[in-house]
Amino acid sequence: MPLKERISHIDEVRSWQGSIRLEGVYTAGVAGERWLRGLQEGRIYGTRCPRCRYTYVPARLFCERCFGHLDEATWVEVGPQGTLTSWTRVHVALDGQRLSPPRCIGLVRLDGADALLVHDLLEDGTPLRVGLRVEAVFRPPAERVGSIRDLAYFRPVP
Amino acid sequence: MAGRRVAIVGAGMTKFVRRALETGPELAWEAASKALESCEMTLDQVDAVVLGSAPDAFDGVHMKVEYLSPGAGAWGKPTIRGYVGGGTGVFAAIQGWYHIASGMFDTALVVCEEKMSSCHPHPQAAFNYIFDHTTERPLGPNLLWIFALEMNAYMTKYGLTKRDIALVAVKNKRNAAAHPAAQLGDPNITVEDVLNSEVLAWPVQRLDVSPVTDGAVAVVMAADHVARRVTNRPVWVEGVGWSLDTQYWTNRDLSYPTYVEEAARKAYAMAGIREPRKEIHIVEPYDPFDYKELHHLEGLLLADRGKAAELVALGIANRDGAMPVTPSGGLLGVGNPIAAAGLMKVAELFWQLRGEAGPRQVPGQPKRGLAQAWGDLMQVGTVIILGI
Amino acid sequence: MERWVYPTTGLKQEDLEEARVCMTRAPLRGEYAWDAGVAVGRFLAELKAGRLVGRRCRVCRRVMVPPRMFCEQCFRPTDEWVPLQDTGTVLTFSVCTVAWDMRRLEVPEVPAVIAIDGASPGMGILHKLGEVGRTVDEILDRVHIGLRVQAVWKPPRRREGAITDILYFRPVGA
Ligand SMILES: [Zn+2]
Ligand SMILES: [Zn+2]
Repeated sequence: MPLKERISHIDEVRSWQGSIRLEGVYTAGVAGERWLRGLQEGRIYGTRCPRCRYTYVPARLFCERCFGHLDEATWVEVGPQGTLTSWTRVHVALDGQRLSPPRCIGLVRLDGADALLVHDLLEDGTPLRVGLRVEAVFRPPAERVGSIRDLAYFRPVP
Repeated sequence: MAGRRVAIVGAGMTKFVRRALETGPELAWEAASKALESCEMTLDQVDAVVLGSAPDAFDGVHMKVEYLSPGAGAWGKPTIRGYVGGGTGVFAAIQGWYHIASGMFDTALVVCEEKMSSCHPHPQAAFNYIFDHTTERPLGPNLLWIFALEMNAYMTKYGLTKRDIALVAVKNKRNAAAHPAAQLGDPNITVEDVLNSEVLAWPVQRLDVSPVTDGAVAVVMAADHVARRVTNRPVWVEGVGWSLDTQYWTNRDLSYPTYVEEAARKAYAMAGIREPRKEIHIVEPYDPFDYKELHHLEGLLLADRGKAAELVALGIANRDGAMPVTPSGGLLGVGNPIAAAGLMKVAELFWQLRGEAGPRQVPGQPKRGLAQAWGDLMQVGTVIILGI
Repeated sequence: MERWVYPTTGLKQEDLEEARVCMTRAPLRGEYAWDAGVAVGRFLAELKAGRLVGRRCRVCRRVMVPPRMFCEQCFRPTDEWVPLQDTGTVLTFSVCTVAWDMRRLEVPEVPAVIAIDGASPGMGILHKLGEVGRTVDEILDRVHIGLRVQAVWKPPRRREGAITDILYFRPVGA
């Protein structure tokens, strides 16, 4: 917290205010590009390292465990159902404002994957618990743009 | 020599481009996997990882090295990030050296990455935040100011002309035409092209400046006993040095890089070099701007003060000259992905000293080379001397 | 060595403009209030009063500006405040035609490092020069390293205790 917010006689303290004005424009990368195009088609892919038998989601270009290239042959479809491995309910926004209603975030191990995917979790009244079966819900095809948001949220499997 | 003997045994890099589709970790992996492949090593033979990358703001990712680490082979390994701005690329190799020289590790994978294209509206904007927030930033500065101010101080002190300095850009961009990873190689560029390019911050013009670049470079370093097993042509680290000047840059003599001299003297002493102008056969000084190459040659004691431009004008600094300077093509020609650019210079020495530089090969079987980088608020010098 | 160069996938500007590849845009928005600190806090207060001040280290005898409460060479506290003149000498300058985001400027700016009279030799601050012309050629005609300059202050009631309380430095006698 800057000093000026901690004291009552603000005139006695000299501070200089400023902002950092930058914008990040991120490309998704070689694997990320293809992975997002998959979401656009309503499919979730992973890459499965044949040596380490570990399936990465989102898909990756290389295996960080053995450093091998994860080529064409390693792409596998995972999900769309999976298991909730953890979850949280967030009541405060980035700027400190209360969120109403709170936002629910889930950490999901998709069927066929080893890595976990974090995303919004729809609360439909089902009591949330680790181990709950959930499924991916996509936006309508016309609204998809090749973004992590093309996957709208996970919801409990009815 | 301090500690155990250490060699570079492999090197790899990505092509340098203005904007890569690859993410930072993907660029890092491309370079690192090529470096390992070049010496037929695998990740499980790597004991430690050294990662270098300049400001987080370029990639637009906070704690960038944690982000890059999978692509640098850091999974489950002792990993360190050194950061000295533009000096980082050479400093990363120095860190690789002391990891091994200390006896702590037998091998290290040294990876430098920069993805500058993520930063909008222009990567230069990220440099606004190096200026003092209270006494400088309210003036609305930009990065070009400090280079232009330094270049003018240097030119004026020694009576150098723009033409004297533009010859560096011509030499380096021509050299880069023979580099397979180069972004801006141009075999036909002339000094008029440089002098007629757009004025950005006088005396700095467009072609005096290195480009914005995405890219990564990696080298594999090993202790003596491992190096000899891996390759019959290890390239030894003979000397290292680094030094930092005051952060109060407006209180310095901008016409001479004292901190580079301090770093060079340490490296020469360690390498047992008494006459650097005779004993260094290839120089890769840091050249983000053309005048910086001259500035650094003087700081490295490889030219008298104010006289480095003569080495270029007389062809002594050409690839086939008596003291080849920046045979790679440098930052001006190959490109300037900040930290990766410094390590590119180290990789160039590795290839040159092994006789593997192809069309860029410096003739006469050079035995010893020096790479230097510079950065922070124009205040750090990092130097490494390699030999076979 | 060509074998050890990975053929990175280069993109063109059009690939982004025409959204041929997926992109995520995110502003890095940080708002800060930087405390000026002890030495620069006083420096700013003096600027508001229309004065420049430095700090002396009695060991190395340097009078430093910008002022600091410690001497980074002797690594000890500095000892006293020293009033400085608002005149000085241009140590180096540039004629800058682009802004921080690389937009062209209509009238170039002239940043300069100015050694302030009363401080030790070579002790400069970053500021801008004014009243020196409106084009690169005009400015290069009028400005040189070694030029004597004087601060042009904001009127007292518009000062706020900032480095910009000095509008710019102009040639002495201009
Ligand atoms: Zn694997
Ligand atoms: Zn002192």
